[in-house]
Amino acid sequence: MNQVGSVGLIAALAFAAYALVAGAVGGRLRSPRITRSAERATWGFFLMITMAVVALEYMILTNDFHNAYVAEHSNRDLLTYYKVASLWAGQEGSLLFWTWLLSIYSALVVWQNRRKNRQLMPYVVSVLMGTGTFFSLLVFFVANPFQELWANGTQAFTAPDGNGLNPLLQYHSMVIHPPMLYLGYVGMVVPFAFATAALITRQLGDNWIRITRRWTMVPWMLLGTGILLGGNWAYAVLGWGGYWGWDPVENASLLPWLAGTAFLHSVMIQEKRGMLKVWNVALVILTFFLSIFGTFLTRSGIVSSVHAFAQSNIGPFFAVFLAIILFFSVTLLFLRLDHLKSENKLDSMVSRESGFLFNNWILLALVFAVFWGTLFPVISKAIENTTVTVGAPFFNKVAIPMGLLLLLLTGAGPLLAWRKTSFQSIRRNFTVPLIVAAVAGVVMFVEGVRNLYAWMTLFLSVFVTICILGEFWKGARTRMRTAKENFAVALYNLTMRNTRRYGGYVVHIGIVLLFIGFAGQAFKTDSKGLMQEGDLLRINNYELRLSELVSGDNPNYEYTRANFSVTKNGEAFTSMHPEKRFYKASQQPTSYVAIHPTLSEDLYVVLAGLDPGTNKAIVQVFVNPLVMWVWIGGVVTLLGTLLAMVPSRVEREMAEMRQAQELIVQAGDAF
Amino acid sequence: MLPSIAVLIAVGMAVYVVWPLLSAETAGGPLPLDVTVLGDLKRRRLVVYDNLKDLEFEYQSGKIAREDYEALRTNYLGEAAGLMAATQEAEQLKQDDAVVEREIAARRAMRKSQPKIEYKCQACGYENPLPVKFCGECGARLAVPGKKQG
Amino acid sequence: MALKRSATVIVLGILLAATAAFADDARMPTVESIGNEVQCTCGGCVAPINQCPMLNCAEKAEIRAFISKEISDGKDERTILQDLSLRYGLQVLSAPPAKGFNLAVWVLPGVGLLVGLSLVVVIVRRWRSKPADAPPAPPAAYDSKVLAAMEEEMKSAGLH
Repeated sequence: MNQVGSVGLIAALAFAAYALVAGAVGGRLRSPRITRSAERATWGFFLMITMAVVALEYMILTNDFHNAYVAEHSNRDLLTYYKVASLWAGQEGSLLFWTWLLSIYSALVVWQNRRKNRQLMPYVVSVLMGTGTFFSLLVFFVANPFQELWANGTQAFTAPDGNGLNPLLQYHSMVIHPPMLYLGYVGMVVPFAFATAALITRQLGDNWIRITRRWTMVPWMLLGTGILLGGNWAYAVLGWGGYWGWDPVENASLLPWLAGTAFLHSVMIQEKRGMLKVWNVALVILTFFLSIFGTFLTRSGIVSSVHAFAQSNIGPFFAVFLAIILFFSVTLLFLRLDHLKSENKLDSMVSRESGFLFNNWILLALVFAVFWGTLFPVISKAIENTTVTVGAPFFNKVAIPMGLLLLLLTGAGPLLAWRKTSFQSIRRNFTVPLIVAAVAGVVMFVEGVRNLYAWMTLFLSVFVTICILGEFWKGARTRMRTAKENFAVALYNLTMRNTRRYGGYVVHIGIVLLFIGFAGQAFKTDSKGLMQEGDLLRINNYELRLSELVSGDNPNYEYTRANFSVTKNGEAFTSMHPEKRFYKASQQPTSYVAIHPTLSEDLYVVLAGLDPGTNKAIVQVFVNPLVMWVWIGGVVTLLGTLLAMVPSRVEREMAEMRQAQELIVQAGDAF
Repeated sequence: MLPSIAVLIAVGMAVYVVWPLLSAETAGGPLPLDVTVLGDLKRRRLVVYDNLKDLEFEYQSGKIAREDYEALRTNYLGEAAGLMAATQEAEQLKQDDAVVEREIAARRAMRKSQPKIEYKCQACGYENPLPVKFCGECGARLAVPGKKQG
Repeated sequence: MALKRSATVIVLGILLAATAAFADDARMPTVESIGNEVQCTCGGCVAPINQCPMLNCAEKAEIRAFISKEISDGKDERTILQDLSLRYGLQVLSAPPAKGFNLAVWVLPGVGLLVGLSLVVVIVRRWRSKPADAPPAPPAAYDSKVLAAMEEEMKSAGLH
C-alpha cells in the first residue's frame, strides 16, 4: 500500500507540474487543445491524490502498522471514526489531506467552468496547480506519509500496535473541525486563482469579481464554521472553561477569515459602483496569502501553541512559497494598475460606500494587530534575543475595542443609503434604535452590569438588533403597501428577492449573538474544591453534591468518574458526570468535562484528578454565562450565509443572460 | 500487484491528458471570449436597474430623503440610457459588419460558381480588378463578359 | 456635515459618560486575577496559569504558591508581576511590559489603526476631488429609440 500511495503522489506531482505549465502556455497561445489537456491534468491530479488518500486511509483502517504514520497516529482499539480522523492528526497526513482538498476544489472549478470563462480558465488551472505542485512536492519529498517503520534505522518492521490518536483529539467536533478549517484555508485559493487569471488576461470588468465573490463565500463560511468548532472543542475538551485563548494557531485561522470578511464587504462597492478595484484585488491576494500563512503557522511550529505539532523542517519551504506568491501577485497587480481605474466617484462622506470603507479599515487594522501580536515573540527572539509571551491579555486589550467598533458598524452601516445619506435620513433611521438601546443600557446598568466592555457590547447589541429588525420591518411594510401582501408573504418575498442583502442581515444578527456570548465572559465565576463522597460544593446559586466516585475500564482508556447531583436554589436541578481518563495507547491523561448548558448560563464541571495524598477528588466548577449564544450565533451566521448564497431573482436573470451569451459564443459568433 | 495497477491507472490518466494535444486544433479557432461587448453592456445596465430598484424601494420605505432620491434617480436613468445608446451603436456596427460579411461571402460563392472572367483591356492590356465596363487605365470600352467573342 | 459631526460628538459624549460611570475601582489582587496575566512556563501548554489544563503541572503549582505568598505579603498586582518576571524571565508574563523594544508590540497596533485611518481619509479625499467627470446626461438627452428600448428592458427587469 505504501507503494500505491507513493505512485499516487509522484503521478499527482507530475500532473500538477504539467498543468501549471500547460495552463500558462494554453492561455498564452489561446489554444483550446492545450487548455483542454491542462484541465484534464487537473482531473489527473485529483485522481492521483485521491488514490494516495485512499491508500493511507486503508492502512489506517486495517491497522497496518508497518507504515510509520499509521503506527504513530492510530491504534487498534481506536473507534472507527476517530481512525478516519487520524488522516489529519499528524504533519504528513494533514499536508496530504490539504493537498487532497485542493485537488477537490480544483476539479470542481474545472468542471463548473468546462464551458464557461474559457479565457480565464487556463490561467486559473495554472494557479491552482501551481499551488498543487508546491503541496505535492512537500508531501512527497519533505513530509511523506508513506514511509516504512524502521527499527534501529536499518530494518523495516511492523509495530504490534500504534501509539494512538492524541486523546485530546478524540472528541466529536474534533473529527469535523480540521476538515472544515482546511476547507476554508484551501478554498481561498480559488478566488485567488480567478483574480490572478483576470489580471493576466486583463479581463478586469465585472465577470471575475462575481465568480470570486461566490467562491469566497464558500470557504469563508467553512472557515468560520471550523473556527467555531475549534472553539467548541477547546471549551468541551481542554477543561479551562473557555473557547478562545488567542492561541497562535487560532489566530492563524482568524486572519484569513477577517481578511475574507473585509473582501466580502468591499466587493459590493465594486459590483454596484465600479469602485475600489485595486483594493479588492489586494484583499483577495491578502486573504490567500494569510491562508497559506495560517497553514504555515499551524504546521511549522515556529510559534509555540497548544497545537504543538512543532516539527519545523517544512518552515523554509513555506517561507519560499509565501515569498513567491507575494512577489508574483504584487508585481502582476502593479502591471495592471491602469486597468483598475475607478468607474465612479464618491458622492458623499456619509454613505454606504464610506461605511464599507470604515468596516474595511477596522477589519484590516484587526488583521494587522493579531498578525503582529502572533509573530511578535518570533521577532523579539530574533532581534532582542529575549523570549516573551504575547497572550490573551494583549489581544483582549487590542481586539475588544476594535470589535466593538465593528459591532457598531454592523448595525449602522446597513442604515446608510448608497451614494449619499442626508442628515434627516440619518435622524429618521437612527432615532428608534438609539432610544431603545439607551433604555436597555440604563436597565442593564441598574441591573448591575458594571463591566464597561460587557455593558457596551450589550448596549450595541440591542442597538444593532433594532437596526436590523427595523430593516426587515420597514422593508416588509413597504411591500405590504406597494404589493398588497400580508406581513409574512411580504417578509418572505423581501428576503428572497434580495437574498444577498437580507442573508447578510441574518449574518449580522448572528454576529450580534456571538458578541452577546463573548460579553458573558466578563461574568464568569468559578470555584474549586477537594471533595470526597457526600461533600458539597457551592457556586452562585448551585450546590453540587458528590454522590459517588467510580472507576472503570474499556479497551481505549481507564477512567474515574465523579457522579454529582446538582441543586439550583435548593431544588433538584440535574446530575453531572465528569471523568478523568487515562488513554492506554498514548499513555496520556485527560479530563472529560461535564457541561450542563442552558440559554442563560452553562454549569461546567471538571474532575481534575484525585489528590495523591488524601485520594479526594479535585473538582473545578465554572459558571459560564451566555456561552450558548456563541454557538447559536455561529449557527445563525451559517444559515445567513447559506441564505445569501441562494441566487436571488436578479442574479437568476443575469445567469440566464449569461447562458444565452454562452450559446452565442458556442455558435462561434465571438463578437 | 496493487502498485502495478496504480501505475497503470496513472499511465492511463496521462494518455487521457495528452490526448487533446494529438488532435488537430479544433475548427473553432482560438479560445472563445468570456464576455462579449454586448453582454457586458447588458450586464452593466442590469446593475443600474438593480440600483434603481433598490433606490425606489429605499425611498418608499422612508430611508432616503426626496431630493436625494430624485437626483440619484435621474443620475441612474442617465447612466442606463448612456449604456443603452452604446449598445445600440454596437448592435448597429455588428449589423453593418454582418451585412458586409454576407456580401463578401455571397460574392465569394458567386465567383466560385461562375467561370473566371477576366476584365483585361484589349486596348492597353491592363488587368482591371473589378467587373467594369470601361478600362480603368485607358478608358477603352471593354467587351461584355459572357458575350466574349475572341 | 456639521450636523453629522455634532451627532458624533453626542454619541462620544454618551460613551464618555458611560466610561465614567464604569470607572474601575482598584481591586484587591487574587491568585486568579493575577493568574490571568501569568503564563505557565512548563512548555506543555501555553495557557494562563489559572487556565492550565494540565493536572500535575509542578510549575503551575509553584508559580501559584509564589503569587499567593506575595499577595499575603500585601504587594500590589504590579509589584507581583515584576517579581515574577525577575524570577522566571519575561516569558512568564502573558503580555510583555510596555518598555524598551517590547513597547513595539503595544504601540504598533495603534499605529496600524491610525495609518489605516489616514489611508482611508486620503482615498476618500482623492475620490471626492476627482475631476468631476460630467454626470451622465439626463435621460431626455437621448434618442427616443434608446429610451424606448430602455423602458422595455426596465419593464422586463421588474421596474415601472
